[in-house]
Amino acid sequence: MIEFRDVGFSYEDEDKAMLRHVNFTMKDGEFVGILGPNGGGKSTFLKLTLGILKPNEGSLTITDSRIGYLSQTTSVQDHDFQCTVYELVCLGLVDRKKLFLSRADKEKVRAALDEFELWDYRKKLISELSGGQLQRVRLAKALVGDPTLLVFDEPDAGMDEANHHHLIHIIEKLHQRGKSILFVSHHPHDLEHADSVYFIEGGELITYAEELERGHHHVSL
Amino acid sequence: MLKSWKGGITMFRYEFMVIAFVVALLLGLTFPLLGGTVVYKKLSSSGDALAHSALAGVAIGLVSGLQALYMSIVCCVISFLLIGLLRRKFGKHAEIGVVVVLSAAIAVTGILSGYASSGNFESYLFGSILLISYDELYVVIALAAISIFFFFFTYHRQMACLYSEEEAKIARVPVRLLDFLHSLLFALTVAIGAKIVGSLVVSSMLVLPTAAALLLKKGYRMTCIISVIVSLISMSSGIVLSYYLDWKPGATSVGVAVVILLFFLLYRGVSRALLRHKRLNAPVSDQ
Repeated sequence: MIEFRDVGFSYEDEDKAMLRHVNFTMKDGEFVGILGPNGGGKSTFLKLTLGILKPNEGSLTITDSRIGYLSQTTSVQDHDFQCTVYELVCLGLVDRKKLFLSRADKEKVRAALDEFELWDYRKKLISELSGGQLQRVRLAKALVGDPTLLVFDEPDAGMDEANHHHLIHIIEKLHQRGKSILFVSHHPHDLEHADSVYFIEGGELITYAEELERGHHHVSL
Repeated sequence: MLKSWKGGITMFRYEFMVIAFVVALLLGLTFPLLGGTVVYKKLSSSGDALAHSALAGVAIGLVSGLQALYMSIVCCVISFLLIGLLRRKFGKHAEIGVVVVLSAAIAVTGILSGYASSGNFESYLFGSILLISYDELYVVIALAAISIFFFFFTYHRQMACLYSEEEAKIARVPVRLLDFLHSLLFALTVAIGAKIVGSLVVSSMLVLPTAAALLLKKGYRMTCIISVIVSLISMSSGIVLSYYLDWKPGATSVGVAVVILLFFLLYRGVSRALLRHKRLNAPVSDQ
Protein backbone atom coordinates (compact mmCIF):
# COMPACT_ATOMS: atom_id res chain seq x y z
CA MET A 1 0.00 0.00 0.00
CA ILE A 2 1.13 3.54 -0.76
CA GLU A 3 -0.21 6.54 1.12
CA PHE A 4 0.72 10.19 0.53
CA ARG A 5 -0.69 12.56 3.16
CA ASP A 6 -0.42 16.21 2.29
CA VAL A 7 2.99 15.62 0.74
CA GLY A 8 5.02 18.55 -0.55
CA PHE A 9 8.41 18.50 -2.18
CA SER A 10 10.86 21.03 -3.60
CA TYR A 11 14.48 20.60 -4.65
CA GLU A 12 17.17 22.28 -2.54
CA ASP A 13 18.35 24.72 -5.21
CA GLU A 14 14.88 25.61 -6.53
CA ASP A 15 12.30 27.93 -4.97
CA LYS A 16 9.35 26.43 -6.85
CA ALA A 17 7.63 23.42 -5.22
CA MET A 18 7.61 20.36 -7.49
CA LEU A 19 4.70 18.80 -5.60
CA ARG A 20 2.10 20.53 -3.41
CA HIS A 21 -0.35 19.02 -0.89
CA VAL A 22 -0.49 15.62 -2.58
CA ASN A 23 -2.99 13.20 -1.09
CA PHE A 24 -2.99 9.78 -2.68
CA THR A 25 -3.77 6.22 -1.62
CA MET A 26 -3.07 3.06 -3.57
CA LYS A 27 -4.30 -0.24 -2.12
CA ASP A 28 -2.63 -3.62 -2.54
CA GLY A 29 -3.42 -5.22 -5.90
CA GLU A 30 -4.64 -1.96 -7.40
CA PHE A 31 -3.74 -0.73 -10.91
CA VAL A 32 -3.22 3.03 -10.86
CA GLY A 33 -2.39 5.12 -13.91
CA ILE A 34 -0.66 8.50 -13.87
CA LEU A 35 -0.85 10.98 -16.71
CA GLY A 36 0.50 14.49 -17.12
CA PRO A 37 2.77 16.74 -19.13
CA ASN A 38 6.57 16.71 -18.86
CA GLY A 39 7.85 18.85 -16.00
CA GLY A 40 4.50 18.64 -14.21
CA GLY A 41 5.85 16.63 -11.25
CA LYS A 42 5.37 13.01 -12.43
CA SER A 43 9.04 12.10 -12.05
CA THR A 44 9.23 13.66 -8.59
CA PHE A 45 6.07 11.77 -7.59
CA LEU A 46 7.65 8.50 -8.79
CA LYS A 47 10.99 9.19 -7.08
CA LEU A 48 9.14 9.76 -3.79
CA THR A 49 7.21 6.52 -4.29
CA LEU A 50 10.40 4.62 -5.07
CA GLY A 51 12.19 6.01 -2.00
CA ILE A 52 14.84 7.89 -4.00
CA LEU A 53 13.60 11.22 -2.58
CA LYS A 54 12.14 12.04 0.84
CA PRO A 55 9.22 14.48 1.17
CA ASN A 56 9.82 17.95 2.66
CA GLU A 57 6.28 18.15 3.97
CA GLY A 58 3.56 15.70 4.95
CA SER A 59 3.96 11.95 5.42
CA LEU A 60 4.51 9.10 3.03
CA THR A 61 3.90 5.43 3.85
CA ILE A 62 4.89 2.55 1.58
CA THR A 63 4.32 -0.97 2.90
CA ASP A 64 5.70 -2.82 -0.13
CA SER A 65 9.21 -4.04 0.56
CA ARG A 66 9.79 -5.53 -2.87
CA ILE A 67 9.46 -3.01 -5.70
CA GLY A 68 10.03 -3.79 -9.37
CA TYR A 69 10.85 -0.82 -11.60
CA LEU A 70 10.84 -0.46 -15.36
CA SER A 71 11.74 2.80 -17.11
CA GLN A 72 12.32 3.79 -20.73
CA THR A 73 14.77 1.81 -22.84
CA THR A 74 16.53 4.82 -24.24
CA SER A 75 18.87 5.29 -21.29
CA VAL A 76 22.60 5.52 -22.00
CA GLN A 77 23.59 2.67 -19.68
CA ASP A 78 21.92 0.06 -21.89
CA HIS A 79 24.13 0.99 -24.82
CA ASP A 80 27.32 1.56 -22.82
CA PHE A 81 27.31 -0.92 -19.96
CA GLN A 82 29.02 -4.15 -20.90
CA CYS A 83 27.07 -6.97 -19.30
CA THR A 84 25.20 -10.03 -20.52
CA VAL A 85 21.45 -10.60 -20.47
CA TYR A 86 21.90 -13.15 -17.64
CA GLU A 87 23.98 -10.73 -15.55
CA LEU A 88 21.44 -7.93 -15.93
CA VAL A 89 18.52 -10.11 -14.83
CA CYS A 90 20.60 -11.19 -11.78
CA LEU A 91 20.70 -7.51 -10.74
CA GLY A 92 16.96 -7.71 -10.11
CA LEU A 93 17.78 -9.82 -7.01
CA VAL A 94 20.31 -7.39 -5.55
CA ASP A 95 19.32 -5.60 -2.37
CA ARG A 96 20.85 -4.03 0.71
CA LYS A 97 21.49 -7.28 2.58
CA LYS A 98 22.28 -9.87 -0.07
CA LEU A 99 26.00 -10.53 -0.57
CA PHE A 100 25.88 -13.45 -3.00
CA LEU A 101 23.22 -15.07 -5.16
CA SER A 102 22.13 -18.49 -3.89
CA ARG A 103 21.26 -21.53 -5.98
CA ALA A 104 17.56 -20.70 -5.46
CA ASP A 105 18.23 -17.18 -6.79
CA LYS A 106 19.86 -18.62 -9.91
CA GLU A 107 16.78 -20.81 -10.43
CA LYS A 108 14.63 -17.66 -10.22
CA VAL A 109 16.79 -15.98 -12.87
CA ARG A 110 16.44 -19.02 -15.12
CA ALA A 111 12.65 -19.04 -14.64
CA ALA A 112 12.43 -15.31 -15.47
CA LEU A 113 14.54 -15.78 -18.60
CA ASP A 114 12.38 -18.75 -19.65
CA GLU A 115 9.16 -16.81 -19.06
CA PHE A 116 10.25 -14.08 -21.46
CA GLU A 117 11.86 -16.51 -23.94
CA LEU A 118 15.29 -15.08 -23.25
CA TRP A 119 17.26 -18.18 -22.19
CA ASP A 120 18.88 -18.51 -25.63
CA TYR A 121 20.01 -14.87 -25.41
CA ARG A 122 21.50 -15.17 -21.91
CA LYS A 123 25.13 -14.85 -23.05
CA LYS A 124 24.47 -11.91 -25.38
CA LEU A 125 25.55 -8.42 -24.39
CA ILE A 126 22.61 -6.10 -23.65
CA SER A 127 24.08 -3.55 -26.07
CA GLU A 128 23.58 -6.07 -28.91
CA LEU A 129 19.81 -6.39 -28.36
CA SER A 130 16.99 -4.64 -30.20
CA GLY A 131 14.78 -2.19 -28.27
CA GLY A 132 11.98 -4.73 -27.83
CA GLN A 133 14.33 -7.51 -26.69
CA LEU A 134 16.04 -5.17 -24.25
CA GLN A 135 12.74 -4.13 -22.71
CA ARG A 136 11.85 -7.82 -22.23
CA VAL A 137 15.18 -8.31 -20.42
CA ARG A 138 14.52 -5.28 -18.23
CA LEU A 139 11.03 -6.55 -17.48
CA ALA A 140 12.52 -9.93 -16.48
CA LYS A 141 14.92 -8.01 -14.20
CA ALA A 142 12.03 -6.06 -12.65
CA LEU A 143 10.01 -9.25 -12.02
CA VAL A 144 12.72 -11.74 -10.97
CA GLY A 145 12.55 -10.68 -7.31
CA ASP A 146 8.78 -11.37 -7.22
CA PRO A 147 7.88 -7.76 -6.31
CA THR A 148 4.53 -6.88 -4.78
CA LEU A 149 4.55 -3.40 -6.35
CA LEU A 150 5.51 -2.73 -9.96
CA VAL A 151 6.30 0.80 -11.08
CA PHE A 152 6.37 1.52 -14.80
CA ASP A 153 7.76 4.87 -15.94
CA GLU A 154 6.72 5.30 -19.59
CA PRO A 155 8.17 1.89 -20.42
CA ASP A 156 6.68 1.95 -23.93
CA ALA A 157 8.44 5.16 -25.03
CA GLY A 158 10.17 4.61 -28.37
CA MET A 159 8.70 1.13 -28.85
CA ASP A 160 7.14 -0.12 -32.06
CA GLU A 161 3.41 -0.95 -32.17
CA ALA A 162 3.78 -4.75 -31.77
CA ASN A 163 6.14 -4.55 -28.76
CA HIS A 164 3.99 -1.83 -27.21
CA HIS A 165 0.85 -4.02 -27.36
CA HIS A 166 2.79 -7.00 -26.01
CA LEU A 167 4.04 -4.95 -23.05
CA ILE A 168 0.57 -3.61 -22.20
CA HIS A 169 -0.78 -7.18 -22.39
CA ILE A 170 1.93 -8.37 -19.94
CA ILE A 171 1.17 -5.51 -17.52
CA GLU A 172 -2.53 -6.40 -17.54
CA LYS A 173 -1.68 -10.06 -16.86
CA LEU A 174 0.52 -9.02 -13.94
CA HIS A 175 -2.38 -7.04 -12.51
CA GLN A 176 -4.65 -10.09 -12.84
CA ARG A 177 -2.03 -12.07 -10.87
CA GLY A 178 -2.56 -9.65 -7.98
CA LYS A 179 0.42 -7.33 -8.39
CA SER A 180 0.01 -3.65 -7.52
CA ILE A 181 0.72 -1.60 -10.64
CA LEU A 182 1.67 2.07 -10.79
CA PHE A 183 1.89 3.02 -14.46
CA VAL A 184 3.06 6.44 -15.66
CA SER A 185 2.18 6.94 -19.30
CA HIS A 186 1.74 9.52 -22.02
CA HIS A 187 -1.11 7.56 -23.59
CA PRO A 188 -4.51 7.41 -21.84
CA HIS A 189 -5.32 4.32 -23.98
CA ASP A 190 -2.65 2.33 -22.11
CA LEU A 191 -4.58 2.83 -18.89
CA GLU A 192 -8.00 1.58 -19.93
CA HIS A 193 -7.75 -1.38 -17.52
CA ALA A 194 -6.56 0.79 -14.62
CA ASP A 195 -8.69 0.91 -11.45
CA SER A 196 -8.07 4.63 -11.18
CA VAL A 197 -6.22 7.26 -13.18
CA TYR A 198 -4.65 10.47 -11.85
CA PHE A 199 -3.27 13.56 -13.52
CA ILE A 200 -0.23 15.54 -12.32
CA GLU A 201 0.33 19.07 -13.54
CA GLY A 202 2.03 22.05 -11.91
CA GLY A 203 2.83 19.93 -8.84
CA GLU A 204 -0.83 19.11 -8.22
CA LEU A 205 -2.35 15.64 -8.25
CA ILE A 206 -5.99 15.35 -9.26
CA THR A 207 -8.14 12.52 -10.60
CA TYR A 208 -8.31 12.22 -14.37
CA ALA A 209 -12.08 12.80 -14.21
CA GLU A 210 -11.46 16.16 -12.51
CA GLU A 211 -8.93 17.02 -15.17
CA LEU A 212 -11.49 16.31 -17.89
CA GLU A 213 -14.09 18.39 -16.01
CA ARG A 214 -11.66 21.30 -16.07
CA GLY A 215 -12.25 21.24 -19.80
CA HIS A 216 -8.81 20.18 -20.96
CA HIS A 217 -8.97 18.32 -24.26
CA HIS A 218 -7.41 14.96 -23.41
CA VAL A 219 -8.48 11.70 -24.99
CA SER A 220 -11.03 9.98 -22.77
CA LEU A 221 -10.27 6.46 -21.53
CA MET B 1 73.22 -6.45 -19.97
CA LEU B 2 71.42 -9.74 -20.66
CA LYS B 3 71.68 -12.17 -17.76
CA SER B 4 72.04 -15.93 -18.33
CA TRP B 5 68.85 -17.98 -18.69
CA LYS B 6 70.80 -21.17 -17.78
CA GLY B 7 70.32 -22.85 -14.43
CA GLY B 8 66.59 -22.31 -14.17
CA ILE B 9 64.98 -19.12 -12.87
CA THR B 10 67.98 -17.56 -11.21
CA MET B 11 66.11 -14.43 -10.16
CA PHE B 12 64.35 -16.30 -7.34
CA ARG B 13 67.70 -16.99 -5.65
CA TYR B 14 67.55 -13.42 -4.40
CA GLU B 15 65.17 -12.59 -1.58
CA PHE B 16 64.48 -9.08 -2.90
CA MET B 17 63.38 -10.57 -6.24
CA VAL B 18 61.00 -12.99 -4.51
CA ILE B 19 59.49 -10.11 -2.51
CA ALA B 20 59.24 -7.95 -5.65
CA PHE B 21 57.51 -10.79 -7.52
CA VAL B 22 55.00 -11.38 -4.69
CA VAL B 23 54.28 -7.64 -4.45
CA ALA B 24 53.84 -7.43 -8.23
CA LEU B 25 51.29 -10.26 -8.11
CA LEU B 26 49.41 -8.69 -5.17
CA LEU B 27 49.27 -5.28 -6.87
CA GLY B 28 48.43 -7.00 -10.15
CA LEU B 29 45.39 -8.44 -8.43
CA THR B 30 44.43 -5.21 -6.65
CA PHE B 31 44.73 -2.77 -9.58
CA PRO B 32 41.97 -4.18 -11.85
CA LEU B 33 39.63 -5.03 -8.96
CA LEU B 34 39.51 -1.35 -8.02
CA GLY B 35 40.40 0.24 -11.35
CA GLY B 36 37.66 -1.56 -13.27
CA THR B 37 34.92 0.41 -11.52
CA VAL B 38 36.63 3.68 -12.43
CA VAL B 39 36.85 2.64 -16.09
CA TYR B 40 33.17 1.69 -16.12
CA LYS B 41 32.31 5.08 -14.56
CA LYS B 42 34.32 6.79 -17.32
CA LEU B 43 36.54 8.43 -14.71
CA SER B 44 39.81 6.84 -15.80
CA SER B 45 41.56 10.21 -15.54
CA SER B 46 40.86 10.30 -11.78
CA GLY B 47 43.64 7.69 -11.42
CA ASP B 48 45.95 10.16 -13.15
CA ALA B 49 44.87 13.00 -10.86
CA LEU B 50 45.43 10.84 -7.77
CA ALA B 51 48.80 9.61 -9.06
CA HIS B 52 49.93 13.23 -9.43
CA SER B 53 48.55 13.97 -5.96
CA ALA B 54 50.68 11.09 -4.67
CA LEU B 55 53.65 12.77 -6.27
CA ALA B 56 52.69 16.07 -4.63
CA GLY B 57 52.55 14.20 -1.31
CA VAL B 58 56.04 12.81 -1.94
CA ALA B 59 57.32 16.31 -2.72
CA ILE B 60 55.78 17.64 0.52
CA GLY B 61 57.30 14.70 2.42
CA LEU B 62 60.78 15.15 0.96
CA VAL B 63 60.81 18.90 1.57
CA SER B 64 59.33 18.78 5.09
CA GLY B 65 61.25 15.71 6.19
CA LEU B 66 58.09 13.74 6.91
CA GLN B 67 57.65 10.12 5.72
CA ALA B 68 56.99 10.42 1.96
CA LEU B 69 54.71 7.35 1.70
CA TYR B 70 52.39 8.58 4.46
CA MET B 71 52.30 12.10 3.00
CA SER B 72 51.40 10.65 -0.38
CA ILE B 73 48.55 8.63 1.23
CA VAL B 74 47.27 11.79 2.96
CA CYS B 75 47.44 13.78 -0.31
CA CYS B 76 45.62 11.05 -2.25
CA VAL B 77 42.82 10.82 0.31
CA ILE B 78 42.40 14.64 0.36
CA SER B 79 42.39 14.68 -3.45
CA PHE B 80 39.79 11.93 -3.63
CA LEU B 81 37.54 13.88 -1.25
CA LEU B 82 38.04 17.02 -3.37
CA ILE B 83 37.27 15.15 -6.61
CA GLY B 84 34.06 13.80 -5.05
CA LEU B 85 33.04 17.30 -3.91
CA LEU B 86 33.83 18.91 -7.27
CA ARG B 87 32.12 16.07 -9.21
CA ARG B 88 28.89 16.81 -7.36
CA LYS B 89 29.35 20.58 -7.89
CA PHE B 90 29.96 20.26 -11.63
CA GLY B 91 27.18 17.70 -12.18
CA LYS B 92 27.22 16.63 -15.83
CA HIS B 93 30.74 18.00 -16.31
CA ALA B 94 32.16 15.83 -13.53
CA GLU B 95 35.50 15.41 -15.30
CA ILE B 96 36.27 19.08 -14.63
CA GLY B 97 36.69 18.19 -10.95
CA VAL B 98 39.34 15.65 -11.93
CA VAL B 99 41.18 18.20 -14.07
CA VAL B 100 41.16 20.80 -11.26
CA VAL B 101 42.74 18.33 -8.80
CA LEU B 102 45.23 17.13 -11.44
CA SER B 103 46.30 20.72 -12.19
CA ALA B 104 46.66 21.61 -8.51
CA ALA B 105 48.75 18.47 -7.91
CA ILE B 106 51.04 19.28 -10.86
CA ALA B 107 51.49 22.83 -9.55
CA VAL B 108 52.40 21.69 -6.01
CA THR B 109 54.72 18.96 -7.31
CA GLY B 110 56.42 21.31 -9.79
CA ILE B 111 57.07 24.03 -7.23
CA LEU B 112 58.26 21.74 -4.42
CA SER B 113 60.37 19.44 -6.64
CA GLY B 114 62.92 22.24 -6.94
CA TYR B 115 63.61 21.89 -3.20
CA ALA B 116 63.77 18.06 -3.11
CA SER B 117 66.73 15.85 -4.05
CA SER B 118 66.26 14.61 -7.61
CA GLY B 119 67.39 11.01 -6.87
CA ASN B 120 64.68 10.49 -4.25
CA PHE B 121 62.10 12.13 -6.41
CA GLU B 122 62.86 9.98 -9.46
CA SER B 123 62.36 6.80 -7.47
CA TYR B 124 58.74 7.87 -7.02
CA LEU B 125 58.27 8.57 -10.72
CA PHE B 126 59.15 5.01 -11.75
CA GLY B 127 58.84 3.25 -8.38
CA SER B 128 61.24 1.04 -6.52
CA ILE B 129 59.69 -2.41 -6.49
CA LEU B 130 63.12 -4.05 -6.17
CA LEU B 131 63.88 -2.13 -2.97
CA ILE B 132 60.81 -2.98 -0.92
CA SER B 133 61.08 -3.16 2.85
CA TYR B 134 59.17 -5.74 4.93
CA ASP B 135 56.94 -2.94 6.25
CA GLU B 136 55.95 -2.04 2.70
CA LEU B 137 55.35 -5.71 1.92
CA TYR B 138 52.92 -5.96 4.85
CA VAL B 139 51.14 -2.77 3.70
CA VAL B 140 50.67 -4.28 0.22
CA ILE B 141 49.43 -7.60 1.68
CA ALA B 142 46.87 -5.69 3.81
CA LEU B 143 45.78 -3.55 0.85
CA ALA B 144 45.33 -6.60 -1.40
CA ALA B 145 43.38 -8.51 1.27
CA ILE B 146 41.02 -5.55 1.91
CA SER B 147 40.53 -4.95 -1.84
CA ILE B 148 39.72 -8.62 -2.56
CA PHE B 149 37.31 -8.71 0.39
CA PHE B 150 35.66 -5.46 -0.74
CA PHE B 151 35.37 -6.63 -4.36
CA PHE B 152 33.76 -10.00 -3.60
CA PHE B 153 31.41 -8.78 -0.89
CA THR B 154 30.13 -5.86 -2.96
CA TYR B 155 30.34 -7.48 -6.42
CA HIS B 156 26.63 -7.49 -7.31
CA ARG B 157 25.86 -4.22 -5.55
CA GLN B 158 28.75 -2.43 -7.26
CA MET B 159 27.58 -3.79 -10.59
CA ALA B 160 24.03 -2.57 -9.84
CA CYS B 161 25.41 0.93 -9.13
CA LEU B 162 27.46 0.92 -12.32
CA TYR B 163 24.45 -0.08 -14.41
CA SER B 164 22.11 2.49 -12.88
CA GLU B 165 22.57 4.37 -9.61
CA GLU B 166 18.87 5.20 -9.61
CA GLU B 167 17.76 1.56 -9.91
CA ALA B 168 20.34 0.58 -7.28
CA LYS B 169 18.84 3.14 -4.90
CA ILE B 170 15.37 1.70 -5.53
CA ALA B 171 16.77 -1.73 -4.55
CA ARG B 172 17.99 -0.03 -1.31
CA VAL B 173 21.66 -0.49 -2.21
CA PRO B 174 23.74 2.02 -0.15
CA VAL B 175 25.06 3.76 -3.28
CA ARG B 176 26.82 6.70 -1.56
CA LEU B 177 28.53 4.49 1.04
CA LEU B 178 29.79 2.06 -1.61
CA ASP B 179 31.10 4.95 -3.73
CA PHE B 180 32.86 6.44 -0.70
CA LEU B 181 34.49 3.15 0.35
CA HIS B 182 35.58 2.35 -3.19
CA SER B 183 37.05 5.81 -3.75
CA LEU B 184 38.91 5.64 -0.44
CA LEU B 185 40.41 2.24 -1.29
CA PHE B 186 41.23 3.52 -4.78
CA ALA B 187 43.07 6.54 -3.32
CA LEU B 188 45.06 4.29 -0.95
CA THR B 189 45.94 1.97 -3.83
CA VAL B 190 47.21 4.86 -5.95
CA ALA B 191 49.31 6.22 -3.06
CA ILE B 192 50.86 2.84 -2.22
CA GLY B 193 51.16 1.83 -5.88
CA ALA B 194 52.92 5.11 -6.70
CA LYS B 195 55.65 4.35 -4.15
CA ILE B 196 56.15 0.81 -5.45
CA VAL B 197 55.63 0.90 -9.21
CA GLY B 198 55.86 4.66 -9.69
CA SER B 199 53.28 7.40 -9.97
CA LEU B 200 53.66 7.52 -13.76
CA VAL B 201 52.91 3.80 -13.94
CA VAL B 202 50.16 3.29 -11.37
CA SER B 203 47.40 5.19 -13.16
CA SER B 204 48.12 3.23 -16.36
CA MET B 205 48.01 -0.11 -14.58
CA LEU B 206 44.68 0.81 -12.95
CA VAL B 207 43.08 1.40 -16.35
CA LEU B 208 44.86 -0.68 -19.03
CA PRO B 209 43.84 -4.23 -17.92
CA THR B 210 40.12 -3.35 -17.85
CA ALA B 211 40.41 -1.34 -21.08
CA ALA B 212 42.00 -4.40 -22.74
CA ALA B 213 39.38 -6.80 -21.32
CA LEU B 214 36.50 -4.57 -22.48
CA LEU B 215 37.73 -4.99 -26.07
CA LEU B 216 36.80 -8.68 -25.98
CA LYS B 217 33.13 -7.86 -25.17
CA LYS B 218 32.49 -10.81 -22.88
CA GLY B 219 30.17 -9.33 -20.24
CA TYR B 220 30.84 -7.91 -16.77
CA ARG B 221 32.09 -11.05 -14.95
CA MET B 222 34.40 -12.18 -17.73
CA THR B 223 35.72 -8.62 -18.12
CA CYS B 224 36.69 -8.68 -14.43
CA ILE B 225 38.38 -12.09 -14.80
CA ILE B 226 40.23 -11.20 -18.01
CA SER B 227 41.39 -7.85 -16.59
CA VAL B 228 42.88 -9.62 -13.54
CA ILE B 229 44.68 -12.12 -15.81
CA VAL B 230 46.03 -9.29 -18.03
CA SER B 231 47.16 -7.36 -14.96
CA LEU B 232 48.87 -10.39 -13.36
CA ILE B 233 50.69 -11.21 -16.62
CA SER B 234 51.78 -7.58 -17.08
CA MET B 235 52.99 -7.06 -13.52
CA SER B 236 54.82 -10.39 -13.21
CA SER B 237 56.44 -10.17 -16.65
CA GLY B 238 57.50 -6.63 -15.75
CA ILE B 239 59.57 -8.07 -12.89
CA VAL B 240 60.96 -11.00 -14.91
CA LEU B 241 61.89 -8.90 -17.95
CA SER B 242 63.40 -6.17 -15.80
CA TYR B 243 65.67 -8.77 -14.16
CA TYR B 244 66.90 -10.31 -17.39
CA LEU B 245 66.97 -7.18 -19.56
CA ASP B 246 67.77 -4.52 -16.93
CA TRP B 247 64.66 -2.54 -17.76
CA LYS B 248 62.62 -0.50 -15.28
CA PRO B 249 60.00 -2.92 -13.82
CA GLY B 250 57.03 -0.51 -13.67
CA ALA B 251 57.54 0.83 -17.17
CA THR B 252 58.00 -2.74 -18.49
CA SER B 253 54.68 -3.80 -16.90
CA VAL B 254 52.88 -0.93 -18.62
CA GLY B 255 54.60 -1.84 -21.91
CA VAL B 256 53.40 -5.45 -21.62
CA ALA B 257 49.85 -4.29 -20.80
CA VAL B 258 49.85 -2.01 -23.87
CA VAL B 259 51.08 -4.89 -26.07
CA ILE B 260 48.28 -7.15 -24.74
CA LEU B 261 45.73 -4.39 -25.38
CA LEU B 262 47.00 -3.96 -28.96
CA PHE B 263 46.88 -7.74 -29.44
CA PHE B 264 43.22 -7.80 -28.27
CA LEU B 265 42.47 -4.91 -30.61
CA LEU B 266 44.02 -6.83 -33.49
CA TYR B 267 42.15 -10.00 -32.48
CA ARG B 268 38.85 -8.10 -32.46
CA GLY B 269 39.55 -6.53 -35.84
CA VAL B 270 40.49 -9.86 -37.41
CA SER B 271 37.53 -11.75 -35.90
CA ARG B 272 35.15 -9.04 -37.13
CA ALA B 273 36.64 -9.17 -40.62
CA LEU B 274 36.36 -12.97 -40.67
CA LEU B 275 32.73 -12.79 -39.56
CA ARG B 276 31.94 -10.25 -42.29
CA HIS B 277 33.71 -12.45 -44.85
CA LYS B 278 31.75 -15.50 -43.67
CA ARG B 279 28.44 -13.63 -43.96
CA LEU B 280 29.24 -12.36 -47.44
CA ASN B 281 30.20 -15.82 -48.64
CA ALA B 282 27.32 -17.65 -46.98
CA PRO B 283 25.20 -19.56 -49.59
CA VAL B 284 22.04 -17.61 -50.45
CA SER B 285 18.87 -19.55 -49.73
CA ASP B 286 16.48 -20.06 -52.68
CA GLN B 287 13.50 -19.11 -50.56
